[in-house]
Amino acid sequence: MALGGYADHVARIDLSSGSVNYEGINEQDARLYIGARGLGVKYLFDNGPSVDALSPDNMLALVNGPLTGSEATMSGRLAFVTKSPLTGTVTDSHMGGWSAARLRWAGFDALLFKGKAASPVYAYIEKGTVELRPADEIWGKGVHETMRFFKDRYGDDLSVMAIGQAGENGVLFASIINENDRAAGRGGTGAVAGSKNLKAIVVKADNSTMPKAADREKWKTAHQRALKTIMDSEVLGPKTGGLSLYGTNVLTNVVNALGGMGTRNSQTTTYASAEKLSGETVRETILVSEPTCHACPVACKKEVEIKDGPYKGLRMESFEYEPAWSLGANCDNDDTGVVAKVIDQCNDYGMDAIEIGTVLSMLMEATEREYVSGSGLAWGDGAGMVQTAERIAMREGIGDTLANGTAQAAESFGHPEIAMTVKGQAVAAYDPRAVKGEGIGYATSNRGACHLRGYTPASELLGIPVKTDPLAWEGKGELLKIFQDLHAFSDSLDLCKFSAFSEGAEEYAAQYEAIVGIPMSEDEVMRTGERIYNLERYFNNQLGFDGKDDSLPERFLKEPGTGAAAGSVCELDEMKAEYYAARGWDDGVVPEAKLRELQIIG
Amino acid sequence: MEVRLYATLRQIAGSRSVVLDPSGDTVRDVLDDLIGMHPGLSERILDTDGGTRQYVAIMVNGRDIRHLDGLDTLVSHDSELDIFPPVAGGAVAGGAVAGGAVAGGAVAGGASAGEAVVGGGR
Repeated sequence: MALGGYADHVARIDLSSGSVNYEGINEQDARLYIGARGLGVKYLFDNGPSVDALSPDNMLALVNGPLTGSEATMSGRLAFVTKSPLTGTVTDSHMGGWSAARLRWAGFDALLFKGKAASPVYAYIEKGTVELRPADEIWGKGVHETMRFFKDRYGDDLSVMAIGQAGENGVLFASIINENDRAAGRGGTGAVAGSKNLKAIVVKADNSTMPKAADREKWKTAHQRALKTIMDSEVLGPKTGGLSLYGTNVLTNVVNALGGMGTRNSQTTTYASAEKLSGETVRETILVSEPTCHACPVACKKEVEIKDGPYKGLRMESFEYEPAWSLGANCDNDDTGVVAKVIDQCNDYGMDAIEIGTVLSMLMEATEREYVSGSGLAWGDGAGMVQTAERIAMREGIGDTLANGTAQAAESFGHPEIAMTVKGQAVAAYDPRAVKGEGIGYATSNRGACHLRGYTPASELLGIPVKTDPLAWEGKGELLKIFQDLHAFSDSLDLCKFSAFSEGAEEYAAQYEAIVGIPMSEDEVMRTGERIYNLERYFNNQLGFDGKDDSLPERFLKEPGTGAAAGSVCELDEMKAEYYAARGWDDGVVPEAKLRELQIIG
Repeated sequence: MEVRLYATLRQIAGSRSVVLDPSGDTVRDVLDDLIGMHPGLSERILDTDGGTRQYVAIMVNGRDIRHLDGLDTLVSHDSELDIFPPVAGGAVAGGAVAGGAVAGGAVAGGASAGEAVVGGGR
């Protein structure tokens, strides 16, 4: 294959037979779908959308992009792509730190797992080869113990991506965690790995094999320009920008001020105790370290140490905005110790730290309304939250019901209306009644409710690239398409999404061109992103997903927000009409003409 | 009136909020009072033309003044004022850009419509 940046080396692993076969990258697929998310979805599409997510027929793909592990700033990410057992849609979940870089340095673009091993195994990767080795000794262990096991066995220059007990026990929102406690959090990728008896992926490699750009001169210019936007950025600027100093949790006070902080399972939208969980308070009181990822100067991670209370001495990373909300205001808990503890449990058991919060808040509302008896949970009961999280990971007692995710659990309590989910996945930390773009965003995300598919808060809250009014619905459908297409491209490079706070299509195109060695324009960036977004939608359409599934819980449509969002509901139908028109879709379905236009078929 | 400050503005003012007696009834008046008490805030909040710096968010009762009447937005003694420094934003003037290809009038509410920015340049 003529394209630069790629290793042109993919492993197909059949866990049932134990065989490993190697192949190159299909150049046409690489040109059309780039890598990571886009290419991963193509592999899954070719595997066939109709597979059962927890069956041997499902594929678990780990895919790098052409920039992964290079000098490109913020290029330390890969995508786990699979059919989600939580939503039934295609899903991709990305992971930071150094695992992606090491996988590239070990000579791989992608690892494609199918089948099911007869007994637990791990995949050991070094110098372009994959070996399956027995994992009996660590099956049943948490992620942290698993990390220590592999470090003892294989030493340094090691990355490990592992499941904990949650993935082994088929918790439908189980995640995959790496050696830096970075997560491929959403969509239940950990359950897919667990269903295959795949405990971990272990990669031994150092940066002596870091890939270099095809065109050094062009690369220097593109790289310097992109890096400068980051260093000069008032968000990202190392040690000066808001994201660098406070992490994503810089958003807690902003979102609460505008009435977008869902409280008590989104029954209200302003939290009186938001300050206690904010990035400012964390920095002042419990912050101990600020780790980073491969090739990133921002260092947005916030490692904390709890100073008092029942979790005194707990040291963990990272105190992020999303779980600060899902385990904070959402559960009416204002104790940072509890938030830190449950995030740490998610890092060890391997569970989505966003979904767990909504599972707990749904249970709390069910308890309040007496929809459950016995194993209920009171609002703000921190000890109860910790205990329930463990029960979920182990599928014990009520944990067995809750382990199926917020939507299915609410259904089994007879009250699906208290599940704040879309396509079965929990909403995130921006209430749709206050941040209207996230309303249409959650509804139309191809992987279930997700705040990142089209991060309109960049515009609605932060003014990037222009400031839009978060309370206005007009224009949000069109705005969302633009963000969705741009992020689909950067997710396929795979650059950290925070690059979008200072980089744009122009910077992405320049870096792609310099590393891969073929021309790429800003228009082509957006076109490629559009193609990837439509391929995902086509995958889901084949399974019967259409406009009726692009929905929101009734609460956001009928119950008004509070505080600064008083009286506001989410005008979803109006935004959907605008969005589908912008997309050229028929009630959420991609027409054949559009598939041909985008070269997805024919 | 209590003016609440966030992130890096807190270090400059030495506190999370400033209580003041506004000299007038617009946001501009309140800012003048605030900066009079804490001159170090001036360069963080205002640009050289006396307007607010790009990406600074000033909210009155949770509404960004860019969607109200800007610095002429009226306030009363019980208005809630929140000032956020650029917790997000691109580079300052002359530098690189906060890009993304925004085409067409994706600007809603009271703001000006039809701002077409194609490509990352601003």
